[in-house]
Amino acid sequence: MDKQTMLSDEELVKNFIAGNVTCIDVLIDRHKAKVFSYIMMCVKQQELAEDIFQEAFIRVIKTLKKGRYSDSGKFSSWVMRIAHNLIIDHYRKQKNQVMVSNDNYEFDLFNSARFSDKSVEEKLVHDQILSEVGMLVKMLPDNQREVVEMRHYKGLSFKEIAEETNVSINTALGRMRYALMNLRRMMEERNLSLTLS
Amino acid sequence: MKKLFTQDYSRLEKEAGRLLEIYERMPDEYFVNQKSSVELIVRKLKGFARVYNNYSLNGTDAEIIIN
Repeated sequence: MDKQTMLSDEELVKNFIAGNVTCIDVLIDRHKAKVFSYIMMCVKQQELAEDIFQEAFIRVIKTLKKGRYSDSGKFSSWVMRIAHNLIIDHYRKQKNQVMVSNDNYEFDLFNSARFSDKSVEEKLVHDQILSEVGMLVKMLPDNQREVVEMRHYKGLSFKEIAEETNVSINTALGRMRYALMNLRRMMEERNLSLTLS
Repeated sequence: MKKLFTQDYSRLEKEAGRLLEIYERMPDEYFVNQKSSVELIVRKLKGFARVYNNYSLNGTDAEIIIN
C-alpha cells in the first residue's frame, strides 16, 4: 500500500483499470475530503451530500472499469465534475418537484417573506455576516478555532473532532463552549450584530 | 394558474459552478489527510470496486456484481 501512495493519480488509474483493485482505495482516500467538502458546501445537508458523494464515486468506478475514462486531464477535476453534475441533476429534479399551486386559497401559507429568496440587500448583509464570523473565528485561540472549523466548516461530529485532536469528547465540547463565549464577547466588544433584522 | 418556487435553483446552480471553480484552483494536497465524515461510505465504495464487473454481451454493456 505504501508503494501505491507514492504513485500519481494517473498511474493509479492505469493500474486499477489493469486489475489492481487496491489502487482505487488510494484514489478514494486521496480525494474524498475535497470532493465531499465541495458537495457539502453546495447542498449543505449531510445526508444528501453523502448520497451524492457515494453516487459520484460509483460512477467513477463504473466508468474506469468500463474503460471509458479518457486520460485528458486531472483525475480529481474529472471526479469533481461528476459530483458537480450530480448536484445540478439534484437541483433540477427539485425544481420540477417543488411547485406549490395556490389557486384555491385566499390565504397562502407559503407566500411569506420568510420562505422567499433573499433580496440583493439581504444577500449582501448575509455575506457581510459570514465574512465577519470568519474574521472572528480566525481570532480565536488555536484549539478553539480548530473545533469551530471542524464542526461548522467540515461537518465533523464531536466524537470525530475528539479523535482528530486527540482529546476527550468533553474537552472538545468545552472548547466549543469557550469558542462561542469568546465569539459572543468579541461581537459585543465590536458592537457587531450577526442576525438579519 | 399561480405557482410558487420556494428556491431559486438557477442561483444555486450558478453558486455550485462558482464553488467548483474555487475548488479547482485549490491544490489537491491541501485536502490530503484531512478528516472527513464519510468513512462508512468510503468502506462501501472500496467494497463495491472489488465486486463490480462489467462485460459486453452482443455489443451491449452488462453489469455483474460478484460477491
